[in-house]
Amino acid sequence: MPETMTTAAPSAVTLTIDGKTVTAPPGTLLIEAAKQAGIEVPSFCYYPGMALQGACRMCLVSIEKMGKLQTACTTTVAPGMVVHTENDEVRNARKAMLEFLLTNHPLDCPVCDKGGECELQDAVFRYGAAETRFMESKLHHEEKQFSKLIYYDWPRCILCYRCVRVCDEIMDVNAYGVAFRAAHSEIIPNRGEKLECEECGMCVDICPVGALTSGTYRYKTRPWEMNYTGTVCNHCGDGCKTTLSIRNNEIIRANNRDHSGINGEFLCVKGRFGWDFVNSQERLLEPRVRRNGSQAPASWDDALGLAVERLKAVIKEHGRDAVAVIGSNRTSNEENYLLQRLARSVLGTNNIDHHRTADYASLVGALTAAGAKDRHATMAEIASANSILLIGNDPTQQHPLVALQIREAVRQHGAHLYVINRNRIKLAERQAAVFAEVKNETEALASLIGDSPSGELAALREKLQAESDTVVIFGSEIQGRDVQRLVRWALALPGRTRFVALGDYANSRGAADMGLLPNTLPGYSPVSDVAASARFESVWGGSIPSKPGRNIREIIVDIDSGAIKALLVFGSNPAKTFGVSKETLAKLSLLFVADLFPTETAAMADVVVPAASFAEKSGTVTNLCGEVQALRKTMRKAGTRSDFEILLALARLLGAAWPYRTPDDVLREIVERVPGYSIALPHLLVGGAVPTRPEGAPLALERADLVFSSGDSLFTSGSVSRFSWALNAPEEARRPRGHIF
Amino acid sequence: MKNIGIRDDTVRPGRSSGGRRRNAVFYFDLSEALPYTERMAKMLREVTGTVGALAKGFAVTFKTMFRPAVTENYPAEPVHFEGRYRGLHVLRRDENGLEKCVACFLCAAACPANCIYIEAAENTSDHRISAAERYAKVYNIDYNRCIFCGYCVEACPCDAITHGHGFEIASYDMNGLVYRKEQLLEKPPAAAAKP
Amino acid sequence: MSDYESYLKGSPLEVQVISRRFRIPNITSIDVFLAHDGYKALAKALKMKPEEVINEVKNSGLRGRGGAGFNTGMKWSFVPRQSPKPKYVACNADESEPGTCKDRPLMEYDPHQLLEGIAIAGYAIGSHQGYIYIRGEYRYLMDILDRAIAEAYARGYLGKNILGSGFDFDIATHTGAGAYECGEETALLNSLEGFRGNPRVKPPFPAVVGVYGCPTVVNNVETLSNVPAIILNGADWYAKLGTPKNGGTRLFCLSGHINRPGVYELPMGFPLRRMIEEVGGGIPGGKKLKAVIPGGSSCPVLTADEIDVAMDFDSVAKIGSMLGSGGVVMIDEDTCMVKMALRIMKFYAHESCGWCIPCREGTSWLEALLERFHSGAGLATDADTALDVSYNMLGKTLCPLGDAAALPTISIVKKFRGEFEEHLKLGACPYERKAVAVA
Repeated sequence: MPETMTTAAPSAVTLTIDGKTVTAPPGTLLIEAAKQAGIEVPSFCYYPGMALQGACRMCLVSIEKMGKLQTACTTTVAPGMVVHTENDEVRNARKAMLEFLLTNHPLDCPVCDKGGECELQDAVFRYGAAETRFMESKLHHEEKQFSKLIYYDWPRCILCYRCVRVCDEIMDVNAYGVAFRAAHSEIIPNRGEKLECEECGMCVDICPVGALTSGTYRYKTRPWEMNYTGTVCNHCGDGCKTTLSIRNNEIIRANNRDHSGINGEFLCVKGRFGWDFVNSQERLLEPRVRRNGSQAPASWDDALGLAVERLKAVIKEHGRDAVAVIGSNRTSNEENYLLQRLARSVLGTNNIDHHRTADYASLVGALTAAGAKDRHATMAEIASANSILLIGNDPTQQHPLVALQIREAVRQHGAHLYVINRNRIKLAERQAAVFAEVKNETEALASLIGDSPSGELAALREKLQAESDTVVIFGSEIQGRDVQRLVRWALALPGRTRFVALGDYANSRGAADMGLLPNTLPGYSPVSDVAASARFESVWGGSIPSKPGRNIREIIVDIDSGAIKALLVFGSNPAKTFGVSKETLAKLSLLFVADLFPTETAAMADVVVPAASFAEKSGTVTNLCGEVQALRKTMRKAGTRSDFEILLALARLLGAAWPYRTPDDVLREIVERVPGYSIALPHLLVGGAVPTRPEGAPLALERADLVFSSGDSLFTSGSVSRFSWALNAPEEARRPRGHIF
Repeated sequence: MKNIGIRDDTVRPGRSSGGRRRNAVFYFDLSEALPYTERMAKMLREVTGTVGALAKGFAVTFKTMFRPAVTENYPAEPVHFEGRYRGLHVLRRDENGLEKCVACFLCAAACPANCIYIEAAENTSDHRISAAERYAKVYNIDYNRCIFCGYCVEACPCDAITHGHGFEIASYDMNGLVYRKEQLLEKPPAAAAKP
Repeated sequence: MSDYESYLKGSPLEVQVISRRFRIPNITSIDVFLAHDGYKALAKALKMKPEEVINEVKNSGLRGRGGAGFNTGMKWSFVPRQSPKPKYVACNADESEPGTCKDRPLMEYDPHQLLEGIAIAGYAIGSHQGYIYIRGEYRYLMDILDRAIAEAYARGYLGKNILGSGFDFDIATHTGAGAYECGEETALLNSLEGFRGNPRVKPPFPAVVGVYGCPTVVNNVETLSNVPAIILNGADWYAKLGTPKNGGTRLFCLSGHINRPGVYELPMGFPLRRMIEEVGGGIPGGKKLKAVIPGGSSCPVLTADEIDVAMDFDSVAKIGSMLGSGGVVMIDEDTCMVKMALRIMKFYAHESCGWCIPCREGTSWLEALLERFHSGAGLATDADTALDVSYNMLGKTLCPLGDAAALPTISIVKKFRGEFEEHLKLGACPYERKAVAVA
């Protein structure tokens, strides 16, 4: 194999596995070297990235000149080693191990949830140990409910300790232990009878057999009965790829066993179990129109017709600036793009905003100004960083994937984590090299980059300046001018400093990128920028108002003052988020709401239309690192329409002739027109995460109370989580937000 | 008997061959090639052979005339089935009256006509349908599509689905041919015991 | 010392090296100990270079007394001296092998000898901390040891700057919770660190990555107790006590069907037949010997025909068994070997830590199988199944416990196949039936 010889490092080890010459770096485990050569060595307890166990003895291979069979998962490659993975001795040993496993393992495959995707079942099929010589009675312990979401069936457990390790090493929760010994060994929760953990379900996912089962999936169906679609989780801004399993137009479970996407197999409780809001009985399934003071069901034509009629009346009577639009940070990029097009070119107003959860405009502006627009860190870059500076936020609670990437950077690469936070967050307690506990992150930043930082900040700065290639991660605490200061200072640190701003929801970043802002066009050019406006006007026709519109706080004030008469709300709940009173909302001539659920805002609406959830539509979303991923339509919900369809219908009724037929048409326009979004579509289509490089010179942040985080916990997700059983059922959901598991 | 019987005309010289039996004729070979006595002997052999064959055939006919008829007098009388007849499916119960089906979906997976639809649910202590953890909440067989191949019965690990002997399902209404679990299920032992 | 006589009966054939002080009254007190050559070896070792100490032990032919029989000096020399990490000495006092009770008198009747040995080992490998990991059931010995340690500290034989040499050494005791598995060195280290007593993946070996990830020497109590005598009297003296490659003497624990059960210090290579007949005084009641377990329950049994063997590591290995931990168990002709196998397997099925599959499932399977077989419900295939299951465990487990369970079973099934056939034929245990008939 001359190619591999030349490409391998000079110190690479060459060995022979099953007659194939394999070259691997020194220290490579035999099982991994075999995998690279296309030879599968079966194993239960070995799992890449976790501690070696040598417990299941399935990966026994025969190595020439070694007397006993050796475990491929603990043996490292050595020069000249000659390995056989499939000779009779090895096959017999594996068969023997399976026979041992099946002595106490119940043969209830027809009932077991794992049947059909069980690693033990596969191994038995491969090595044929289905006939047993075991004549004695099998040991039995009753099944235990570890939590509302996780069950443990002792007899099925093969004690591979994957759950124990994934919880300890990868999740850093350490909720599992082992009790008793010999054949009575059993997996137990470490803190009492019940699990006390993040309920991420990684243990259920990683279990090779049906010992740990999921409370939401249990005994519902079988793996081959479902359709699988890879899409993107709709909760936090991390953008985890999730594979939804669908049967009869209902989501049955979510996981990512194919390790596709930026999150590998990781999902948190929201991603793995929190999709059930889609199946909620409380979903809006028909439009409702307020007549004579109370809402009543109506047809789509009536509802949209009424909305457009009132809109036209308001514009005629009070002018275009009497209309305002509030967008969502969960809807797709395409929908957000169309929403601002509706506002700017059809309704003719810049009164458009959304709940901003991180100041992306300032970050893009600062990086553009510094000539460093390629310094947005990708999710993978967080895990491979040498050092990480985390200011504000609590990623463990709000951004589980970011927290995981930080932990992996520390655990796998020995990265140093520097934390500045007002709370003793878990990352600060467990992973941080230096933790500066401060009263206020904004003031701490000023001190950090000022002349004489105090106390821990001084130590932190000194150490940080000795690091290279730092990834700076900050929450909504740092906004406006502070972002610019932070970027300027951090870019002067050694190496390639990169940045991540932590926005709350699935498309928080996309909403800002797509221009759901009163003063900014898609791609962060100010509305006053004539050239930038022309870029869009040339395809949209007409003209975009050049005066910045009202931001969300001003919109609310002006509804109260009567200057705004019509409000269109898409996938947002300002009544809750911004505390808009019923009285204020009642002053509107038209409150139009498109949402999944009867929220506080929807309850006050004149027209409510049922929108489709993330699982019921296609499009793209941008995660907090600026990576674009495709949403795929996995199911249908009778009665709902996607925001895309609703917007198209509104535009048509308002007299605009839009050329789009599918969200793809919009994406093509975005790729063409929005700076930084000229992404490779093939990569997106095959499920990749494509980084964007937005640039622009947005106007300065108008005021301080526009950017704030909802402060969600692991078990909350804005207005959506209350409609999820799985996010409310676990005991842990009732712990205070900062609780460290 | 080499020259008697139904012969294909194609063996005759001058005719085209092709194995067609359409123009077969019944004839005696009276060619002058053989001496007279041999010709006569041959003819007699052929006549006796023919009579013998006819007698043999009619013997069967007469013998059967005096046996009882095998024809089923359906619908006037009930039909008689062989034990392995594959009729309408029956979902069985165990000795405790619980449903045997654990909703493993293997019948649905084995079905070549894709006519079995199942929805599974979990047994609870106060709502127990089957002996195992899971039971079939919904179990439909679409007899519009079922081809009675018996693969489902083969696939069943619990002997829960079997073929019964029901067959009278002809209907003018396709919807009625989708049988629900309640229609397929064996009667509970208590109910069966009642007269 | 009330049960002194019960297992230290003594024999004229004994060569007392490490047990020489056992019968001295109040030897646990440091003053008495000092009056009997106490801590002289430590003083001598501290004047030597560490490498010289290691060489001395290596040349003495001292082999690990825990069971594996690895050359102790060699083991010490594997510790990377240049490593910046701290190094540790862990004394394995988790004596749990059925049939073995030799560490107990060493700690009970001469604790200072052990402390001295540990300190010398520490000096040799450059360690400043020793641990004594004591079996949970030996908790009362911890009091004796703790008292001895306190005395040694008070007299400057432990602690800072021992005997003015500049060498610092501390010893701490730690008790297990009664797990046989914790006698395995890596499981011992896990338990010592406060984790569940599972064995660790080897390599890396404890000499490189041991307690808290640092280089650690793990030695048996008897091994370390031999060290002072070796240093004091020289390697050659010690080596000559035994046979070539098997230096010194060893404590043999005679038990089972024997007239004078007890702990005897005999030179390595002492003939087994003489051990049974002359030291142990033969089998009680004039019965015939049926089998001998030569080194604790994990060794393959020897039949009565195989006892003409010299009791050293190599000779016993040559006839297919092991010298193990020195627990010699005699089995007379009235013992059912199926029940013997069952009793041994009961122990291993109870003590398997459950970490790896073959041992966890194999021991409980064999226990259930032998239980059923012995009760008379055996099948014709059972003996072969038991043999096959044992072979499936043999050499395939993470630690030697799997082998320890498999080896005696294999030897019993192979050497006493006839008894299995008898059980099958009778449908009951022939020995129990005989006992009933006699009564």
